[in-house]
Amino acid sequence: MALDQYTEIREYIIEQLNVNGFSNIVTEVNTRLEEDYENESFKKNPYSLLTFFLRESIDILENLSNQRFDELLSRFNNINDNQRIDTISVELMNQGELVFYDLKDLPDYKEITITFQEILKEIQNRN
Amino acid sequence: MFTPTEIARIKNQIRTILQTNAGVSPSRTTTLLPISSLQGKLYEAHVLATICEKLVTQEGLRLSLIGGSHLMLRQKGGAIDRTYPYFEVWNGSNLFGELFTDIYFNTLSYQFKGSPIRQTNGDYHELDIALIKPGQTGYPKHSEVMLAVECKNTSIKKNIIRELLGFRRELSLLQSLRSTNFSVWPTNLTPSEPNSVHMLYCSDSRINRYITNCSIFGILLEHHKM
Repeated sequence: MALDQYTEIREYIIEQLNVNGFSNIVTEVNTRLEEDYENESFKKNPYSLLTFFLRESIDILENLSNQRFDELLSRFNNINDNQRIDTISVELMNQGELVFYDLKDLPDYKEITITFQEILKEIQNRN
Repeated sequence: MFTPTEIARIKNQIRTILQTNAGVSPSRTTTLLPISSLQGKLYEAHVLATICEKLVTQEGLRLSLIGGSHLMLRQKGGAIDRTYPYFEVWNGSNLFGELFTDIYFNTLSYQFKGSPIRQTNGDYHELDIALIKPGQTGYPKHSEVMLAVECKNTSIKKNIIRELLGFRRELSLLQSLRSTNFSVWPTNLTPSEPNSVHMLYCSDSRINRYITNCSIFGILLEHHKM
């Protein structure tokens, strides 16, 4: 794979993340890149940058994903010997009025991480 | 080398999957907050579950949820409010402590200032998860905190570590090793007076680079994925 192809794909991922509301993923990956530069362990070349970007994006998206919410409730209920927990919410203030957001309604980005993993594997196989 | 057709296919895969999920992206606002802020609260709930499990399975304590079946996390910290559900933590028949989320505690510097009635911003800080000595009200004193836990579902930067070190300073002073309130977990010894245990749970594995430095001040770091 030509070096400029690695750059082309990385720039396209960044553009599409930004356009579709995932700009915080780009910010987070850049933060990690800076942190790794400080440790001088990161090789600055297009292939490494692309695979780094994909790997870290997958890691960040996995940590933002709402997976196995029922399992989370079970973890609480397995160690709590009094009342069962039915749900977990966040209390929000709206102009002096309380509203509640049920955390079970948060999204799961599994489809994105699976796609990114497939692309990462394909790129690594071609290198 | 990829062919132009292969490059186009990869780009199409990226565009399609991100467009499909654009409606639930972290920057979207649901109710009043961007989804990204609520995802931080979900991480806090996962860490709370882990803390509860460790207290039971490793420390041999017993947990009892008080105040309803609807666990509530607050958008912002505040005083201890027992109208919200919280956990009592029991050691046999003795009430060992009370486990709260999103509460403020009064800082060490506030005490050194003489604890004036009118408080300013530096007089209190927020604890994401806190195990407090039983029976406290309002903003507990730093000396009433047994376990202080911060949750960061974010990438590690040096300023987070600096913030953590400052936070530790407002909980206790560096001293020779002394016993904590715990037998095994999170630790039975801490180099701090008062003898609180201070922890950071973080989703970025780079947190491991700071473990040895932070442990000098009695701060325990844990890489924790959701």
